[in-house]
Amino acid sequence: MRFDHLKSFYLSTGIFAIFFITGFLLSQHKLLWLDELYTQHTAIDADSFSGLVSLKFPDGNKNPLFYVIQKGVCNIFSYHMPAAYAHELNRTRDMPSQIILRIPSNFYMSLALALIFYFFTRFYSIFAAFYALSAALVSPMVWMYWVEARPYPLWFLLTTAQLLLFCSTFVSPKLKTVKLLFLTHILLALTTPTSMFQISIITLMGWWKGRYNAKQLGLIWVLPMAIALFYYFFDYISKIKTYMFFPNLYDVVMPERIFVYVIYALTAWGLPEKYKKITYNGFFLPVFFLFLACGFTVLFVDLFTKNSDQGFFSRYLIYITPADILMFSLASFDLRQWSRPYPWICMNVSIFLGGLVIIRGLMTYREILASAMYLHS
Amino acid sequence: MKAINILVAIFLLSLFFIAGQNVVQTFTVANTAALNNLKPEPMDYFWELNIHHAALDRNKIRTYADYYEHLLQVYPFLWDAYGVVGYCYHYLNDDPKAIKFLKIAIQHDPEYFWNYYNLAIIYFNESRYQDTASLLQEAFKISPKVSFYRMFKSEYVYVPLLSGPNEKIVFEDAATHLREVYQSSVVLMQILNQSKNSQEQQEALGRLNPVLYAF
Repeated sequence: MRFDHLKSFYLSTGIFAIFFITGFLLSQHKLLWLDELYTQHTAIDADSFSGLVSLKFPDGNKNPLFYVIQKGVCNIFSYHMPAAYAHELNRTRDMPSQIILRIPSNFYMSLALALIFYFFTRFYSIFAAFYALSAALVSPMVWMYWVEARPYPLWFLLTTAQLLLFCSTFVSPKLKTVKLLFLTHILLALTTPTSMFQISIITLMGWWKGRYNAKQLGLIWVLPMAIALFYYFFDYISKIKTYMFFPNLYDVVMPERIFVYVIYALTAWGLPEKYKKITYNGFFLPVFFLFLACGFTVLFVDLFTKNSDQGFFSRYLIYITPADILMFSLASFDLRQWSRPYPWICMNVSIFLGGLVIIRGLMTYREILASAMYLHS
Repeated sequence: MKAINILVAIFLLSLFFIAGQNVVQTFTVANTAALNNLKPEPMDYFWELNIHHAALDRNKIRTYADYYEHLLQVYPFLWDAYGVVGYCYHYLNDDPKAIKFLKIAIQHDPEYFWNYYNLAIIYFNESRYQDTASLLQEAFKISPKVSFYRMFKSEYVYVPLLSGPNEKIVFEDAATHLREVYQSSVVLMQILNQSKNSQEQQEALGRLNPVLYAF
């Protein structure tokens, strides 16, 4: 059962409120760690708004959107990080800092989850919405970066918005999403240099599928790319070492989901015409794999071209997670749709897909538990 | 047909049982990993606080409480840890919780001086002098030697806490500290045994400011 805009909006607002409150609870139980303290101390507390925009702070990422918003929130709450924390190497316990510094990230992640929920209630069904939400909530990256005073949750939100806007042009072609997509691309360009890939892929897909005319394609590509490129030249990107490569990679690229995508691709492209009951979602598969390929390209380039070194962390590929959540949800619905005429297969497909979500949920819970991330009181 | 159904049911139940056991085992491993991540590093703060009277840092004590509470979630039968958690909660200004943990520690680990002593001091601070006296009485029944060896047998709880500078256990310091607290407890006991509510006793009690020790 699909819902109209208003009903979907109210439901999603409720979901947002629940997750926003959850985020506050998570903030209380997660200590501040070195990177959050460093960002706060060297960039947000140390610089003025103009300093943050004009690339003066020493953080590796110079794209200013996250820093400006974070500073705005700190100003609203008259918050300055206690000086003693600046040199803390271990995790730091300070309830006001834990909560205030994570308000924006909590907002971004809650909004991203609510947007996913809205999209599926509006264009699919309430069942689909809860399934997609489950697929999101069992993804390790969501829990690892839900409350984190760094740019990753903002990147997650903007990628989610970008992909949902793109999807909605396929689901409901009458929707005018170009201006919103343009705005999202500008914000993405102001958040991370990797947005160059994302912006280009979505523009390319829009062109390939004939969803936008030349003028619209120019609008969503030229200016955002120029901004992203401008900041890229000032970014400091470290050479990445590959220790702990696979454990980190599996947080983003989950093997069982790749297996589902392969099955999905086979049903979409490999089966005889009469079995092709696939709906309009097939377009999303190349988007996901291009995202993945670009993630690896970034890693590859970093691995061999830059000077200093640091470990590879899954957060460098966090933008793949929203693509993965959407891809997994859409692929699941299509596979179920495809098997619907055959009740026995449909039942097995449903059990298999539901089982994958449950097993991934257990694995994520185990991982978060082992990290002791939220075990501090 | 019925036999086949029963066989299928047994097969499925066995599968669930095996899967369930694997899940439990996996989460035990995850909990142990969590313990490693929660462990305060370095673990010498209680040593500094108890032996060298370092400044009280509630954030650090909270870290120890988190670690030992999680340890108890994973291994609820590590009775030594209840005493440490009780000690932590006293300094986190939560005496009711401290009392609860110390009582469990005494119930299951009655051969250890510090649990009686710490609970007695909490009662003393609450002006429950009768309870303080009876607990100290129990504490004195335990030989200091037993308490001392007891600490060094506690591989997962007290031994890591007893690591002083450079992670070396300084036995002499620990023994001296135990002796001093025994002696001060004897003094406290004597004052409590003086004629009740006398002016002299009240003055003497007012001058005392006993504190809790982890070991």
